[in-house]
Amino acid sequence: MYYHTPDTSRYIRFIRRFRMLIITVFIALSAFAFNFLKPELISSDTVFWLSESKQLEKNHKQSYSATYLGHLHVDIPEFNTQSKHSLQALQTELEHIEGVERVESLFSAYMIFNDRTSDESALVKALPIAQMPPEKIISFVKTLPDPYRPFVNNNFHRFHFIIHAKTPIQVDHLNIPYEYTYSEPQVEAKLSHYLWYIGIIILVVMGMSYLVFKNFIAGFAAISVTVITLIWTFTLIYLLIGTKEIHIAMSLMVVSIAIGHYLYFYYRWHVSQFKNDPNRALEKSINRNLLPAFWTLPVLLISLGSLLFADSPIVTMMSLSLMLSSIVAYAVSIVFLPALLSYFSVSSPKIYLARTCYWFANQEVHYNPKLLRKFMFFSLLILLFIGVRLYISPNLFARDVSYETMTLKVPFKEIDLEMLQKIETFENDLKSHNSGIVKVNSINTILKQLNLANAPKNPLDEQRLLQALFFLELYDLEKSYMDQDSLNITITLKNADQSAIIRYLESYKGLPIYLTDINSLSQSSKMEKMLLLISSLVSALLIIALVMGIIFRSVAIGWVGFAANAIPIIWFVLFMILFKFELTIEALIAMTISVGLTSDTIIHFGYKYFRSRYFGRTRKHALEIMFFYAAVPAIISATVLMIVFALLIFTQLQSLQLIGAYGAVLMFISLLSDLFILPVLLLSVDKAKMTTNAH
Amino acid sequence: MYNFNMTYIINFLSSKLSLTALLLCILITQSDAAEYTNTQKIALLQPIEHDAIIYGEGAKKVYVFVDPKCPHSRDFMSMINENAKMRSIYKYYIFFYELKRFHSHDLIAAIYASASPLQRTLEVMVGDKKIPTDTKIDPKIESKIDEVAHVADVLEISKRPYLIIMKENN
Repeated sequence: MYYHTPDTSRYIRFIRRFRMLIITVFIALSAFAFNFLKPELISSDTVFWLSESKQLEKNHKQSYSATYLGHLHVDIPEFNTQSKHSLQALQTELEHIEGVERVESLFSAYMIFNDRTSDESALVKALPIAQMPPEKIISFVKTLPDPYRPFVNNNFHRFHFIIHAKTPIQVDHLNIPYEYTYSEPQVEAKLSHYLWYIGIIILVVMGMSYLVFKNFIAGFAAISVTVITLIWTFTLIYLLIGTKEIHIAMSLMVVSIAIGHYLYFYYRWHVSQFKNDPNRALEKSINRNLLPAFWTLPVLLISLGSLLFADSPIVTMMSLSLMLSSIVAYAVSIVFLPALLSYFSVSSPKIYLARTCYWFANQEVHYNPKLLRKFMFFSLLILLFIGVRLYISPNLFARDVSYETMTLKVPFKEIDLEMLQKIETFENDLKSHNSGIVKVNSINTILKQLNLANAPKNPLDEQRLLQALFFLELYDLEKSYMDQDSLNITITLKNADQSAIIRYLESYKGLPIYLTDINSLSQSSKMEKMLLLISSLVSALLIIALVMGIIFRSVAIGWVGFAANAIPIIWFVLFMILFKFELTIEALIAMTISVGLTSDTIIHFGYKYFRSRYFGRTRKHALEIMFFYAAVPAIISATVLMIVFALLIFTQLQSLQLIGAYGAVLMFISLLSDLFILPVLLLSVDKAKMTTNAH
Repeated sequence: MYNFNMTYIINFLSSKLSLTALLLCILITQSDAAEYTNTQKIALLQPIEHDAIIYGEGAKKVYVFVDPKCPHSRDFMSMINENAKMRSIYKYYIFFYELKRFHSHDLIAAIYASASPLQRTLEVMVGDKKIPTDTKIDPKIESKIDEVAHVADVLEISKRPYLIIMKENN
């Protein structure tokens, strides 16, 4: 690594001279790009994942449409005539919402029976349960609970309505006279989500700016750099691959990278103002960060570059977001930011975190090598444990759901005994291989019910099947169970691992199965991408180590690069295993963001430390310089991003909630690793490094 | 192969005289079977199709045994009458088969004897119309009632309404 300070005085003079022009050009270009791009902000989370779902592609070939499932749970104090009428009215109201295909509930269910008063009739009757008085409904359902288990709880205080619709359905406008909860297929990132998300970022950035730097310039500049980076990155993505859809996950990556880059430049400018020389502060900001910030680019580009060739537009978009935002944020930080900052000065450049930095340096310079070796060995054991755990049982990918409904379609030509037998076998296999399946509702279920009412002692034979089908049509019951050329199967899950069930369904050979509900399709698509992202993440870690080794011309620093990046991820995965969190695509996105940020931190830390050592500073002094100039912006950016990510948990978009939760935890672990492990690792390789670079 | 032969023989010998002998043959060959297969049932019913009152235009055949006085049979007829879809999918061959406790033999004969038996069936069973019943019954009608009863006995039909549905590709 070349540690000499570049001469940037002419460059700074140029920036100061044309600062107005530079700012105007940047703003004009951004405005033009924004207008040209017209980003599709209201991008759908589910559609984002579904766009390359193999399952959905299969469905399209069969012309099967996808279903949005919404679950409405209504709590009533007592089930009596009045509440029965209210719930019945709700059923009708739900059925009449535009886009609703059907609503499953106790009030759409039938009591199937044979009037056995004379024992001389083969006429099966199907009476809508809603037509019975409440007392009779209770006694009937308690006698025969199985078919109605998904619709009402044991004490008749909670009723469930499962809404099948062509589009996502909202129930806010309905007059529901009882307490209710509604879990809808949240498929669209609405404008309100974006506004909430932008609001959080602005608030946190301004708050942190005031708290840490005692001014609003830092916050204003951070927002300016971030907005320009966002616009330019997405414009470049549009120009490169022609897509306008901006998913929140991608914009979060860009925001993280932009704030990460920006803070190193701003912080150096801020703390260099104590001599009341604005030129000097600008120069320090640029010449001290130009090289380390530049070296983060090849690290990120080479490590994530391979992802561009992944057979997945989503993965391509994400890696492009990280790579391009890194380049753009760098360019904005060295051109636009100094032009903007040249208009300001700081009267009180004191940073209260400085004392903490010296404390850290003092503590860590006397680190215990044995303890470090033990820690590294322990981390290695955890890595092995995770590897073995994943190899033996892929439970880490579990997606535990408390209550969920899945819908499937099975193509058919004729409903005969053979077909019913196949469905029966499928139901039995599904229940025996997966736990948490409350009910499988299919044509087989209803035909068995009809046959039971017709001839309770006799199993279904060809004639009884024909009779059951006759009554199915007579009472118009077939609509829920079959279409022109496909049978509909509904699976009710309670405390089940939905991912395992999806995997089981996708690999089931006994019947051609098509997942049709949006939630399962989206989950399936995410699972398709998991392996790709995991392998990409691992290869990115290795490539980062390689590139860092080449940049610093030291195998030891390559090793530090790998360890410092891998440790937070290893401990994060252990945390997930211990607390039984699922390894989702959102967790992998959070890990990718973390790798992007941590590799930046490692380069800045490494550069500051070894540069000081190169110019003859002691280990302790070098460590103090490193902490003061690199760790403080790292702490601030990690804190800002942790708060932003943590606040995302309160949004209503599940995907965003997960990225927020995982991102916040991962950033906290990364920050701890950056402050406690990375400096010690640098100290541990210091001797070798200095020998390699000696004169 | 066996089923094919049965159908072939039935079609070949589809006369009223040979029917009884044929039924006996089937009974002998099936004496150890608990119930008839669907094909066998259809084979028994097809020769008496001309004794049925036909309702509906559907492609699938449903043979229905009803008693005009039985409330369940009446329910069934009302449902079919109200349900145009079910009449477009199925074609109903309605056979009157008396439930002894309803003493409906004369009413059945009166329906058969009317100018439009289907119209009269609906009037009686759906519209609950009381119609006059003659004590003197035409022997042809008597024979028709007996023929239906005979097949129903062989099929051990005890319920009304009783449905036998013919598979589309039969």
